[in-house]
Amino acid sequence: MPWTKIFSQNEINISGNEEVGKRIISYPKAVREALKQALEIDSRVFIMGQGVDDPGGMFGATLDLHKEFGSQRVFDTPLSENGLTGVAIGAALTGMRPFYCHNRPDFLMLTMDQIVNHASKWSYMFGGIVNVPIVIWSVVGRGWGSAAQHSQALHGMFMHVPGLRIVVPTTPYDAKGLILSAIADNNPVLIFEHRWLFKQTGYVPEEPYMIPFGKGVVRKTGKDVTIVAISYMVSEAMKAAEELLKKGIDVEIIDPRTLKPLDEELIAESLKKTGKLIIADTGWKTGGAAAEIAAAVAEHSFQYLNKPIKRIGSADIPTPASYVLEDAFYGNSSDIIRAAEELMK
Amino acid sequence: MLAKGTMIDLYKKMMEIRLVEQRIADHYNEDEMRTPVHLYIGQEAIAAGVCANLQKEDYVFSNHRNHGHYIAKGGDLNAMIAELYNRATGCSKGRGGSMHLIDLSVGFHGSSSIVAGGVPIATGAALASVMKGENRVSAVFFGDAASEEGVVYESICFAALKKLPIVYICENNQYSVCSPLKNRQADNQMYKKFEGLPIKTYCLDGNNVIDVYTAFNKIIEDVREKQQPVFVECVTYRMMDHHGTKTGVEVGYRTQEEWDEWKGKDPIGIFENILYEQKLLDEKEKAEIVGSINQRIDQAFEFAKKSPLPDISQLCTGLFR
Repeated sequence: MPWTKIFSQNEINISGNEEVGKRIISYPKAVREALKQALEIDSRVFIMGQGVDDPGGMFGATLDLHKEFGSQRVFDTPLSENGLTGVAIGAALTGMRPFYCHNRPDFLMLTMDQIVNHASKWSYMFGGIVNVPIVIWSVVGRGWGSAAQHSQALHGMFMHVPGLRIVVPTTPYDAKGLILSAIADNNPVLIFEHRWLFKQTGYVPEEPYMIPFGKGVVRKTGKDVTIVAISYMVSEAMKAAEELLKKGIDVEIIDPRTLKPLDEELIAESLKKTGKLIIADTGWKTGGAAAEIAAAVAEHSFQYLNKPIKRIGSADIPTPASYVLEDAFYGNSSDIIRAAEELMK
Repeated sequence: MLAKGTMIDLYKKMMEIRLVEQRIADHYNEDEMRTPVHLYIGQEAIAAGVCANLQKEDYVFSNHRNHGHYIAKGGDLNAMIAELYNRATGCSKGRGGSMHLIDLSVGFHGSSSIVAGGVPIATGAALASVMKGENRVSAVFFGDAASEEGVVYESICFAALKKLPIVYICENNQYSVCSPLKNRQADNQMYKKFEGLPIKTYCLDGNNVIDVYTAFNKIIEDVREKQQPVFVECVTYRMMDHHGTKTGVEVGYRTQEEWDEWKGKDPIGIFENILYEQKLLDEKEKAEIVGSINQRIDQAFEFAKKSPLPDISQLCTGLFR
């Protein structure tokens, strides 16, 4: 197994807080580097998806990989999302490591049968004698009038299904390490990127490394309020933290990095200190990731809370296109500030 | 004309499937096999005729009506019956039940009980074979209702695009649960739906094992050598109810006349007559074959019933690896 040699690391550099002299690259370049190294390390790995070899290369994430590794290992696909997910599963069952890219998680709705009825169950259903090492990667859209069908953050929906690992990277460093972990993992992994994080740059070591699943990270330490921020909401939380500090409120920001498994311990440790919790998600509030984290905290860490939990997410409506409505629809740093202030009253 | 050995092997395999299914039916109402069984009686010629042409390392993917495919590919009978009896020694350790049989040692890669669900997965296995430079064929069995699912079209189009060594076997048994074909499709010929694609399509009498065997002998050789997908419709009839041990006539979704007409085309009955006519089999030899199969079935049922049930401490294992 070529993967056992890769260094596993938990240390994180927060974007914008890089040490001088370290290698800084963009988010899509970090993703691309992970894929390139996976293709080099393991001949079983291949990349598929509509547009992976197009001139844009999935926002740069797969740019020109087909030129380096050939069209058998990096190939464009017909739309047929459900069929192609099954194809990836079948290839995984028989010894390959497919990485299936989608521009948007909205398209995963066309693949629900193969993800939910097949990939997630195949190992358990056959007594654990087989396994499905596939990665399904998609990028959540936001803004520019993307509207209802090109902007959904659907990670919460998949959390309901046993047998899937759910990964939500935030920094270029994490994107690379989590992608390499996902490919090395023997099970179905869904990675939900966020389009707005692709603008980020950050420290990324050149050599391959893996970040373990189920280990969150404290993005900012603080003593007054714990903010569990998912994906792009880490960015909004960091903005809010600066403003709140001016008002004398010192928040702690936790990035769970993977939602399944979830680092409940890290959240509990923080709550012991702050006693107050805000969960900020890129998706809807109802029945989603924020709801699940709130439930887990209520169940296991209730004794540390001294105020009700606050959730920030998008309104329970489809995403509107007009930027005026769009702005009002999404949770943002102002909502986080307001929630923190209320908790500190 | 097929060699005598081949004819007898086909007969034995069909008979084995039939006798296993009948034995399951005999015991099913004891409620000890707590799993929905979808019996393959009436369709034996297809599994036997196809799998006799596959190598051990070739892949087979199946569906909820999978007993016949599992047996024809050489799946372990003890492990199958134990799975039906919900035992820890079952091929899926009691997790899958009747609809989720598997035996990797003979290339039987599992069965999905979502109609058409195994079709793209088999296609992916064929893709992996090509990527690894193996000379393997994938075969996937599905019913007429699966041909109504978009994912079959998606899979075959992709296989045509990538020139994958896979044979799509549509067992047109005329019914989806209680819904007859005429309620579901404008035409009753499945293969016609795929004629527009750049693949070869065939339609066979699925109750004639000589036809099935002979056709698949050539088809599988073609698929292996030319690395191209093929679609084959095998016309047959589901003699039993969708699930369970009745025929469906008693509840009225099909008539006794219709059932009797197909009973007259029973694949084993037809084949047996040919074997008798050609003096390849006599009553005594038949009794020996049946006796020997029944002995194996006795052993499998005994093994299953004696086997332990799964340990509750194992409930949550095997979700991830």
